[in-house]
Amino acid sequence: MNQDQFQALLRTLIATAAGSLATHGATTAANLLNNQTISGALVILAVMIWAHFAHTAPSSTPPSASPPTASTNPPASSAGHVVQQLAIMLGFLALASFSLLIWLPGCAHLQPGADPVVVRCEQVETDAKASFDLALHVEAANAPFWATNVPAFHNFCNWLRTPTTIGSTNLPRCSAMLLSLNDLKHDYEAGEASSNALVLAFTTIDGLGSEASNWLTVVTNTPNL
Amino acid sequence: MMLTIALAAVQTILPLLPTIGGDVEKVIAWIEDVKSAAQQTGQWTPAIDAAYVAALLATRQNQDYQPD
Repeated sequence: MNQDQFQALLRTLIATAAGSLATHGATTAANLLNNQTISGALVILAVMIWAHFAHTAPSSTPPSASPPTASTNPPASSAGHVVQQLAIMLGFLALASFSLLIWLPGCAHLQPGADPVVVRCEQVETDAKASFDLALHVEAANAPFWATNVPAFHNFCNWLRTPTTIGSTNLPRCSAMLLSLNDLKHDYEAGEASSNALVLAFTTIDGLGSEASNWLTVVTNTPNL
Repeated sequence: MMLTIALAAVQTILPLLPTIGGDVEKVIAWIEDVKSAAQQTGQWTPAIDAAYVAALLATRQNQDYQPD
């Protein structure tokens, strides 16, 4: 069986497992397995393991008849060696996955006629909302813990949540800011606002979204939490 | 060098999973949103714009968006 056949077999097994999980009511797990990102990561991991062991498989040729020589390196523990190799491969997998998932698609070209200012604004709107969603979810999942141990994160999230009136609508502050940015984008498209105003607005929102992402990095990497 | 980078990446990603209370879907949704924004090549259609505004308005009922 070559590597392509192995990949096809693995994808079939993942699809079968997802179907079986869905049949038994485990829809969340089934959705995870059906997600292209997850299944792709599993296949990459399996292929890396496959390639590693195929590369390090012992040769079928008989050992040399020459007498053994003294070695300065002690024999490696096979279990420890495998765990170490798996840890290294997982690290490479994480790097490769994030590169492929996030950075490489960033090279997409704009369609003819698309206004780059509007497209950039919409990208900021998408990124910022995703970051607010994740940060507020992480904080809300254990708010008393964060209020005690990382009060600045808790306060930042509550600042984002503060009810704010926009027009006749009451919204959380972060949503109100994004809605206001979306309105400004429409004004710009209608020629009622300058590109400078729109760039200034979405740059500000982009900074706020980045701050939410930065908080996620801090709260998930602070020792002893 | 590569081992250091690999270990740093693992140390960054793995602690995130228990912290979010098992909702790996949220992290995946974030990755998918960032990816879709990076892949965007044209302006939103009116339908996408309306869906985005509706998602913003829906945060009023989202428990994660309710202050203490």
